[in-house]
Amino acid sequence: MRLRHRIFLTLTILSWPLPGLSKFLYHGDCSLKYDPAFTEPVPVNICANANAGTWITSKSKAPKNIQPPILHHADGDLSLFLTPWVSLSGKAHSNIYISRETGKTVSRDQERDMILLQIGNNALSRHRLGAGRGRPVYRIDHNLRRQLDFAWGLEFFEAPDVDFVNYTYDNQLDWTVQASYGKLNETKLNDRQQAFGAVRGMYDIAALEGTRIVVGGFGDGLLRRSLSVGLLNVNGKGDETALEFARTFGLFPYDPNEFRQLIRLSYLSHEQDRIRYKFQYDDYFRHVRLGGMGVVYNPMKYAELECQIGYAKHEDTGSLSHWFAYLHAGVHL
Amino acid sequence: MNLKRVVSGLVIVLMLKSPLLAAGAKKKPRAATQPAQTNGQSKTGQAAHASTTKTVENTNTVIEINDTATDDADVPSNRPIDRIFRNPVLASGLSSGADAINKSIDSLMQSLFYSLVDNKLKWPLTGSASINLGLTREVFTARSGAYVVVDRFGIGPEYSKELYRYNNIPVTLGAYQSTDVYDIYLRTDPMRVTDNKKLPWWRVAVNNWFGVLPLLEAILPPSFNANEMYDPLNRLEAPFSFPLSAESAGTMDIGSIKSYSISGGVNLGIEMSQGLHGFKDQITTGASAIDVRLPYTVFRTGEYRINILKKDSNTVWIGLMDANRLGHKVETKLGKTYYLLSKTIPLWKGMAAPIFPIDFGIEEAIGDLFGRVYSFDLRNEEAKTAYLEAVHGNFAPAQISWLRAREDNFDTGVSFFYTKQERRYETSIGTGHNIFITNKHSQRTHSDAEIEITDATGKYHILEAKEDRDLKRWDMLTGASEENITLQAELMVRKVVEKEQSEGDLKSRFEFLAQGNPIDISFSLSLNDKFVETEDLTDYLELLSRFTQLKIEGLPKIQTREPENLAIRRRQVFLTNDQSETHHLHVTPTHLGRFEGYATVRMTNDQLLAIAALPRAALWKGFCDGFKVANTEKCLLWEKSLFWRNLYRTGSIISQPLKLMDYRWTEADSVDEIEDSVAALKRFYKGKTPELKQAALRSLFATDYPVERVESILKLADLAKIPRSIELEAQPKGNASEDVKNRFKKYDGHRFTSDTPFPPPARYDTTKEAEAKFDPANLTFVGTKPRIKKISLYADVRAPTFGKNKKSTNSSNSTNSDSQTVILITRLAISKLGGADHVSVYVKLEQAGRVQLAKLKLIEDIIEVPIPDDFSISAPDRANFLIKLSGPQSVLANLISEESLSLGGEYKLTLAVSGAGRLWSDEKTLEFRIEDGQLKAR
Repeated sequence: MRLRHRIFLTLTILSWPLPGLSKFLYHGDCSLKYDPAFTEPVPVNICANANAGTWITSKSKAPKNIQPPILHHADGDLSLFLTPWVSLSGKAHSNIYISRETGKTVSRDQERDMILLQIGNNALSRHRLGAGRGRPVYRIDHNLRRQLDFAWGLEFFEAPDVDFVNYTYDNQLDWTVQASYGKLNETKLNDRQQAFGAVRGMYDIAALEGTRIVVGGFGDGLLRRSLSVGLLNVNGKGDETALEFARTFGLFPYDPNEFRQLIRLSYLSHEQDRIRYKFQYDDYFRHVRLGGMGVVYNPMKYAELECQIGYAKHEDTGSLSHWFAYLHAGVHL
Repeated sequence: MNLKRVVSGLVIVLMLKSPLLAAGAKKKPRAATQPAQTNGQSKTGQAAHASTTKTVENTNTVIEINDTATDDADVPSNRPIDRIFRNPVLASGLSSGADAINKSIDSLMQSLFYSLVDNKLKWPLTGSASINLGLTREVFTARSGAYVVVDRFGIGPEYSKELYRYNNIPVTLGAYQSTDVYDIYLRTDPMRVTDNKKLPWWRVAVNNWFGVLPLLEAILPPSFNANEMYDPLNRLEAPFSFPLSAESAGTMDIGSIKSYSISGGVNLGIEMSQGLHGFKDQITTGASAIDVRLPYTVFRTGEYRINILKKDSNTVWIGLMDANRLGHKVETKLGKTYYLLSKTIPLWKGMAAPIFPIDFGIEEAIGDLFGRVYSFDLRNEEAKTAYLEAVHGNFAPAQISWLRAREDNFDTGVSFFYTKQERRYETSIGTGHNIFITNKHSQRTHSDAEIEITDATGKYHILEAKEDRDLKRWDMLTGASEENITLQAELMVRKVVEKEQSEGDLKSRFEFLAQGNPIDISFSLSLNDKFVETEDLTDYLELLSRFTQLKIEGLPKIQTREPENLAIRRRQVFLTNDQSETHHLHVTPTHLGRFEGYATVRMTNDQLLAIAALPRAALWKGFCDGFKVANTEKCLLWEKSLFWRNLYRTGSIISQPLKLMDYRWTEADSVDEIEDSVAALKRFYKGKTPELKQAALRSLFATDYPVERVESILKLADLAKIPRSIELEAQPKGNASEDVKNRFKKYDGHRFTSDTPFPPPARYDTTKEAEAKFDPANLTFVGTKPRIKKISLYADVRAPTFGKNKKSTNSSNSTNSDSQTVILITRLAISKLGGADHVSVYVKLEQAGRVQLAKLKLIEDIIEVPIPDDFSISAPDRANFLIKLSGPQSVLANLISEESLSLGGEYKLTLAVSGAGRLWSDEKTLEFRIEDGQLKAR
């Protein structure tokens, strides 16, 4: 189809009365307006999310008074649901670091996070199959300052990028078990080294108005292994509290340099008068301890302002301790 | 341009559009978007259901609570007296308890806060000897709903020396002696506030930990109990407030107990231990990850205790208990206590996290117990003198005074209840695990005893066989639940002393009493769960029904999961995938609140004999039914053939290690259980003497499966002749919908009883009733408690009288929002005042504050409301009055409460009343919200 025809078709679709689009186009939390168990779902649904923003971080005791670069961040995900049983999802992000001193781009990180084809629906199916490329989930991973982890290189516990297949059993009552198997996306490795496997079990109980216990881990052919145990509580008002314990091991499991451990306690309040409060404490064993409290404010639809103050104690760089603060302004769809 | 292509494109769009528009609901207004981590559950919608809490949607909204129960006395319970609550402090056969405390920590609150009030100090004297000082506090919940506080002051020496080492296994000799003084009293929140008003400022500051306690109460979850920490000095005062004189006994609070004891013991033990290393610890310190310890101890302990109960304003009861135990025990301790978050805060060791996957112990002991109880009317001089002697342990003057009163009709003011002498043979097995956030412990004690009781009418003897199983579960998230089962038989006998041939050598035996049914058998089950869900409730009701073979009918059905929440979740997760980072929790079984259930069965000797007389095949079949052995042929095969029994028994052998962690495999154990039960019944049938019957009953009750055993016995019995009952108590809590809460509330106070009535209390029951008075959990306020019959809450919307209120009202939809303020008024109707001329009203208003971490106390105070003379004359027992909770004329309002109410939110109002300042009514709560200046139900 020629370009002008594509443009015309797109404009035709977009110019359709909005109430028509909203019946199958969702964004944000992508909640249906009807109960799919009792109402025939629309055959095609689209869920789209996008976030973009700028993060400015300051540190006390910054070496040579050079402050961390400004981070421009954008991420988005798009899911296409063809009938309730088949879905295709994609997710990507882009980070651009700009030096505050020179105004020049220091580094870029642009990555496709995930592509996934799933058979089965999370609301209606007990058995689900998926295939895709990306980093399979295996932890509770309730992280309230993900962008800071990007900036500070604290992504020790992420699974590697793999091509994988995934099976999920969800009894739709309280248990969910997920298993993934795949190959690392590094062609220089042999077949055995490329092997990857991950498993995650989640169990929900009624305690404190809703608590999830998550146990999971992964291992690969390069003898990297990781194990995580966590609790997530979401009460009736929407406050989220999480506690996680994770360990990861490298090639030599008893080598202190390859041993990583994380204890994380995080809290996110529900929204009240457009404000949410958050708190997170991370203890990366023999690396750094971070504690911070913040406020997220939504001055208007799609806009977000966030401010967080915290304290970090590094244990592997001469025991340097410092305060940090960051300010974030952004938009989200 | 190719028109055909354009038209085709439009047609394609049209074809796509039509089905897309056919389905789906109407678009709803967009809610404010949130960051990626959306919650998986939403707040339950408030459907309009009929209930005692009504709302009327207009400007003068009224919310009401009605107590429709009559003011009559409570219907007596059928529960066995000594199983109402197990007393961990005064129970005979008490071990030192130190090991139990060191092994596990009951709750996170205990490890973080309550342990601050438990101080155990040790001063070393020599290398092996030390002086221990213990100041501890325990808080229980009494049946009346008030808190029972047990403050203990203890001091004494301790000696421990390693005598010898054999192959690196130490042999240790230990001895200790302790003098303990207990102060046991009831406390409620209104009493705490009343104290704060009467005490000097410095004492109020100390009692509240210089302001830290109210702050903790505000920010911590509702499971935090401020009474655990309030008034820490009372533990130090315990020995000085002990009533050694009649005057000081007169100042005791009615219903409180003071107690002192002198105890001591000697033990000789060996301990084998081994440390197991984990990989992380190899990297760090090389310390062991888990310790394995196996101590074996031979011990002898003794305790002499005097308990003083203030029965009413003039009467004091004194109970003496003298207990000695000789025995031995083995305990395995597999685990270790770790410290989390250590080094994060200076001087703080970290949060103690005990990890004991296996916690197992067996103890055998012989106990000799002696007890006696007297009552003293302190208005009588002779009784005062006898009291002074009794409180120091000399009961001879009391006995003389009582005899003078009985035989010579003198008014001495001294009454005698009983003297009890008991020799008990006990075997106790404790199994469980404690892994910090969850623990489970089962304690099974089977015993038999010879009891001699002398009461006001004479002396009599009881032989007792008893099995007591206490199962406690706790986890950090849901709290504690407890299940207790007691199987008990009391044989009414008389002691016959025979003279042996060798001079002076007396031998005794027992004979059944000629009259009546000489054996009284009772089975009781009690369940107590502070956090019950729908699935748990179904299990509990089934358990109670199986235990008594009574049908539980006529109660409202409650769905396991709320359908509305299920629909919300389906809508939220439909458009997600399994690799999403957002967690959408499942809808779990609905949390209902607090539940207690009690089941009681009584049987007589004849009824059990009738069962025991049945053929063996019939007994096997009956027990197979009780143990759910579905295959009748397999059951009959077991009955006939020892070979097949032995073959199926291998499963039980394989499952033995699981029992160390208190896991049971019923199928594997059923052969042994049924075989033992049938053999015990046959021995009971054949036994002629009381001792043989007692031994058979002890074997019949000794089981890991008491529910199955009782169910089997009842299935074989003639149920028409056996009295049975079930009692339920339910207290709705949590965020379930009003409909669900109202349905659950209907379970409260329900009873199910068999047609056959329970027999009247026997002679021994009177003794047990007197004994139970000293049980702290049975403490109750003496006298008639006032009752709140009705609470009405309404809002009066007015123009503000001064400028600053103009901006304080919550405004977005109200038409006159800038000029209105909400004045909250509550009307109370109360009864059973007992003719008081004024009423003390306890008012507490809480809000989950802006941060909504826990709760914020806006108002907590006590106000005095005078009752007009003419009203009190015409209706001395009742009163109705209004209290303004907010507004310029309110005596309770403060800046914080006014600001909070004007901004709106969700609130909880708690009220209690008292006619004399000490006897408080039960607390009533009412939840409401203020939205846009309107008062609405929650």
